[in-house]
This record gives sequence, structure tokens and C-alpha cells, in this order.
Amino acid sequence: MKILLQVLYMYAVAAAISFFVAFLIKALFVFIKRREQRKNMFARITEELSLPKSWFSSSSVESIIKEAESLGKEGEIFAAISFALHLYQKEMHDNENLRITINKAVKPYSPWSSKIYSTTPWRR
Amino acid sequence: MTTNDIFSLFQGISTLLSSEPIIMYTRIGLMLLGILLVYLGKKEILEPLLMIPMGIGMSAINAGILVMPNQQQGNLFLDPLVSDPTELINILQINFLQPIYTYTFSNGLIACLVFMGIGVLLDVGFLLARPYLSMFLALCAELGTFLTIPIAMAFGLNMKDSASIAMVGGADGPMVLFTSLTLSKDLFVPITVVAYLYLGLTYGGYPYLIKLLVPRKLRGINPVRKKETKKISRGEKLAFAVLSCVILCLLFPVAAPLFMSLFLGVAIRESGLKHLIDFIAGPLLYGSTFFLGLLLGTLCESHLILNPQILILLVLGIISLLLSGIGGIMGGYVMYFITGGKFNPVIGIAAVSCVPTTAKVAQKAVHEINPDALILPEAMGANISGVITTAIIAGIYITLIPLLN
Repeated sequence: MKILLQVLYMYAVAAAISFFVAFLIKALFVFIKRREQRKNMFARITEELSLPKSWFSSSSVESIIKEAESLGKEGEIFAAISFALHLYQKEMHDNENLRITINKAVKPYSPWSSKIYSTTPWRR
Repeated sequence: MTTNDIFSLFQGISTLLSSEPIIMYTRIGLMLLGILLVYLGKKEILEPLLMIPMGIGMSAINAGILVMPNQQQGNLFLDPLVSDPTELINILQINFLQPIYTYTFSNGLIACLVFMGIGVLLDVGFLLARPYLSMFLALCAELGTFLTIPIAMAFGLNMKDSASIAMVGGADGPMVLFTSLTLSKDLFVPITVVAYLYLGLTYGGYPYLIKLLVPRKLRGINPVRKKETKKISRGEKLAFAVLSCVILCLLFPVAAPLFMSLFLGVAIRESGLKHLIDFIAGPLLYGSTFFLGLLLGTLCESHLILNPQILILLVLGIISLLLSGIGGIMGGYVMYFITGGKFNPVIGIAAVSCVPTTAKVAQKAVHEINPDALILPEAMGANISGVITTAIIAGIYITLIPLLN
């Protein structure tokens, strides 16, 4: 009887761990699925509002999307409206984000710092 | 030239004739068994990769017994019983297989290398697609691994030896080797040999068990799939391998080498490291299997194998595998009733973790009745879960049984 109980105990431990592994797999998938959903939502809104993806890095947008997720499918509409409002408000104030962006521009040739104009030509 | 001179010239014959009758007959029997294993391997009735080196090793070790300088019988292959360090250093320079035995077999390295190779061949995507179902079937198919323990104890074995022979029900050779090396050092040779002999028989024996337990009508069921299963990305499989490895090592540090080897194989496969995959699935796996077979054969020396418990082990091994098969089919029946007849009970037997043999056996049995039925995705998921649950059970046995004693 004692042996049977011990075997049963070991079986229960094995079952608990195996199902824990299965649960781990499910949890991993739920996490990945939610991330994918969020990514898709971002992509759709960006496309509809014709915005650069870099704008989504702000924390207020993150909170809007989180709230939208909690509302389920209707949240997408809510997220789009909230996001548009957020952008509108963002454009209203004067504070700059202090990030300097230097775009590469095509420039015509300029000899202002050219070496050939700063040296005296050699004369024999 | 006298008869004595001839006998001293052909020591294999002289040691055979001068032995006790039981040793002599065992040696002759094992030589013949070795030849039979080579034949069955060649005919592909048993696994040729393992059986051909094993058969030759078995025949050669029992034929090549000679009189050593200390006037005792011995061989030039290996001596598994040496434990004294000075004697071991001497014997490492004499016996040609001793270095491989000492440095790869007796510490479980070869089992881990085979397991790493299995990991590289496993596609965990089948398991990840249906984790709960696969794990449930795998647990049912471990019935023999658990129920054989009380049966073995009723036969007079102690708990550690019982657990080692019960592992045959897990149908995973490296796992039986690893468990028996840790739990029953005295019996690990016959247990491992019994395990590998029986594992070869799953391909031949399980179809009859399916026919016996599952009616023809149910065997032809094509499982209904609710929707197209999601494609599992490589990143997801890699994340699963890493997380499972860490958690299982944390739970069972004693079996950590096994877990690490298996999941390392899976991680390398999913990382797409082509050169490493080729190396592990090719030279490493085949090399390890070859030396494993050869060492198992050479360990079947008459003095070592002549154990009164060998017959009990042979009986227990087959009981264990049989119970696991029955347990798997019972799991399949449970799913059949839960799904309202939409699940094929044959899939259950694939959860016996003999990768991929049992999954192929299940698909073949179904295909014979209904050529349109495809059960391989579910069967492979259960099969791979079987490997993981067997590793978990090995970890539980190695950790808990010394404490329960």
C-alpha cells in the first residue's frame, strides 16, 4: 500500500510538472499573440493616419493602446481617436523634444574649404 | 605437440572448456545471440544502427576470453568493474575500449550526446500546437513507467532497481541508461541491454496491440481539426526550449545534464546553426549510437550478464512497455469520449516516446483502414511530449527515490 502511495505521489508530481510545462507554452503564446495584436494595431493606425512609426515610442501612446486593448475590439476605434487627439495636442505646444535630426541633403560642390585655394602655388 | 600446448595456443577455446558448465553455455548462447542480433539488424527487424555493433561486440567479447598474467580469465576489451584508480590507469592502457567506457559511458556522457542528437531531430512545433492534449496523452502513456515499480518490488527487487527497469516503459534508451547508471549501478548493464532489445520490438509489437485494443471502425477516424493550426515560429520554439530547460534544471538538478542536452539540441535546431545541426545530427549522433551499441555488446560478457535477476528483468521490461502502450491507448479513448468521437484513439500509442517509431506505427495502423486519415501532426506532438515527460520522470526518480528510501 505504501509503495502504491509513493508511486501515486511521483505520478502526481510528474503530472503537475508536465502540465506546468504545457501551461508555460500557452502563457508564452498568449504573450506573443498580445504583442502581435498590439503591433498590428499600431501598424493599422499608422497607415490610416499616414504617420511615421517612430511617433509611437511616446509613453502616452502606449497607455492609450493599453486602454484600447482592455476595451476589446471597440478599442481600435477608441485608440485611433485618442491617438489623433494626442497628436493634435502634441502639435499645439511649443516644447521641443530636443532631438536633433540631421537629414542628409544633396549639395552642389563648394570650394570654400578646398585645400587648393588655401596654399600658395609653387613657382620656379 | 600436446593437447595442453594447443589449448594454451588457442586460449578462447581453453577458457571455454575449462569454465563451469553454466558459464560455458552462457558464453556459447551469447555468441549465438550476437550473431542473431547482427542478422536481425541486417534484416531491419531490429534497429541496425545499434544491433550490428552490439551483436558483433557481444559475440567477440564472449569468444575472446583469455588467461591474464594473474592466471584469471579476462579480456582485452574492457573491465567495467574496476574502481581502484591505480588499477584503472593500468587497465586504460591495456583494454582498447576502456577509455571510451570510462570517459563517456560510466558518467552518462554518451546518453547525453545521443539525447542532444534526438533534440536536433525534434520539431517541437507539433507539441507547441497542442500542448495540453500532447502532455495528457504522454502522461497516460507513462502508465508502465509507474505501475512496473510495485510489480518489480513484488518480484523482489528494491525500489531503485524497480524504478530503473520501470523506465523501459518510457521507451527511451538514453533515459534508461542514465537512470540505471544513477540508481542501480549493479544492474545497469542487463537493464540497458533489455531496454535496447525491447525498444527495437516496439515497431513489430505495437501494431498488434493497436489491433487488439482499438476496433477497426475507430481506427479509421480522421481527427476533426477546428481550424488551421497556427504556424509556430522558430523564435517561439527557441523561447520554449530555453525556458523549459532553465525551469526543469531548476527543479531537477540531478537530471540537468539530460535536460540541457535535449533542449540544447532543440535550441540549435531552431537557431538555424546549420554547421552545428549537421555535426550533431550526423557524426555526433551516429558516432555516439555506434559506440553505445558496441559498448552495450561488449558489456554482455558471460560473467557480468549471468545474473539470476536477468529473467525477471526480461519479464518486467516487456510488462512495462506493454502497460505504457495500453496506457497510451486508454488516453486516446479518453480524448475520443471527450471530443464526442472526433479523436482517433490510436494517436494515444504515439505518446510512448520512441521517437519517431511509435508515431509512424500509429499512422501506419490508421492508414491501413482509412488511407485519407492523417493523424501524424497529433501523433508527433504526443510523441515529443513523451520524450519530455520521460525526462521529467527520470528526474523525479533520480531525485525522489533516494529520499523515499
